[in-house]
Amino acid sequence: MMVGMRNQRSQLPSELAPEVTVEAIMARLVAGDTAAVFTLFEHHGHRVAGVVRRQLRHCGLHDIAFEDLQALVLDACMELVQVAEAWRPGGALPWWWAEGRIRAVVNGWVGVHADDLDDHVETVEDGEEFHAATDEWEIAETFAHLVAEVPLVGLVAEAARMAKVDELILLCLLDYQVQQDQGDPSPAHTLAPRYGVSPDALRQRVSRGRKRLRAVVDDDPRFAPLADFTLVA
Amino acid sequence: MAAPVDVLRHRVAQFLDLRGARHADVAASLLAARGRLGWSREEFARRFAIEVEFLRQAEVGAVSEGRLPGRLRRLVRSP
Repeated sequence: MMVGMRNQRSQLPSELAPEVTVEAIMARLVAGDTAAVFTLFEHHGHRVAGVVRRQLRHCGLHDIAFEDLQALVLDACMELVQVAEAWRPGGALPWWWAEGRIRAVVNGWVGVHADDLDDHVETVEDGEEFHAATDEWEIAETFAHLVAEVPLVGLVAEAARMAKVDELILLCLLDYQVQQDQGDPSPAHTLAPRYGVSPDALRQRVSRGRKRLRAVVDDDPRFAPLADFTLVA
Repeated sequence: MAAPVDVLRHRVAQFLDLRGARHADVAASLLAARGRLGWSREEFARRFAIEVEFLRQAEVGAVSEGRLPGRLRRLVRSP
C-alpha cells in the first residue's frame, strides 16, 4: 500500500474519486477526522510540494534532498489542518490559499537565507545584468532554454512573434497555463498581484493574447502543430 | 529511511500520545490506513465488519492491538 508522494499520478482535482476531492478532505479535517490528513498527503501531497518548491526557490534553494522536501510537505499539510476551517470551497485551492502559511514553514526551515556574496562578485565585476529571482523570471528562463532545445516550443515563440504577443504577455499566458494545470480554479486571482494588475485585467490580457496566437496558428500552416495546444485554445 | 507516510504516522502517534492515548501507535496506524484509502469511518467499519463506535475508540487510542479483529491487526502490523 505504500505509494508515497514521489509516485503520485498527476490527476486533476476534478478527476479524483469523490471521497478524496479537496472539498471532501477539507470537510473531514474540519469535522476533526484525523485520518483526512493522511488522505491529503496521499492524494494531494504532490500539489502541496509544488507550493513548497516554489517557496524554496524564492529563498534561492533549487535543489534539496527528497527527504527534506517530504518533511516540509508534511509540515505544510499540518498547517493546512490548522486553517481548514477558514477555507471555503470554490476559491483558490487550499495550498494556494494558505501559501503564506506554507511560506512561513519553508522560511522557518531555511532560516535567514542569503546567497554567498562571493558568488555574485564576478557577475558584478563583469558588468553582467543581474536579475532578481522572480516567478516570471524562472518561467522566462525555462522557456528560453526550451525554445532553443525543443522545436515545438520554438514554434510557440515564433507564433508569438508573428502574433505580436510581447514577452510579458507570453509569460503571463504561460504562467496562467501552469496555474491551470496545477488545478488552480482561479489563476487570475493568484497571478494578478504578481503582474500588478487586477484579476479582470489579467484575464483580459490572457484572453487577448490567446486570441492573437489562435489567429496566427489558424492562418499560417507552419503553426499547424500548435493547433491543439491549450495555450492557443 | 522511513517512508513519508510513516513519518506522518509517527507524528500523529506522538500527538495522540501527548493527549493521553494508551495505544497511540495502533490508533495512528488505523488512521493512516483509513486516510490513505480515503474512506469515511463508516465505510471503513463496514468493510472490516466492525462497529463504527469500536473504530472510533480504536482511533483515539483506547483499543489495544490484541483486541483488534485479525484483518485489522494485520493491517496495523503491515509496513
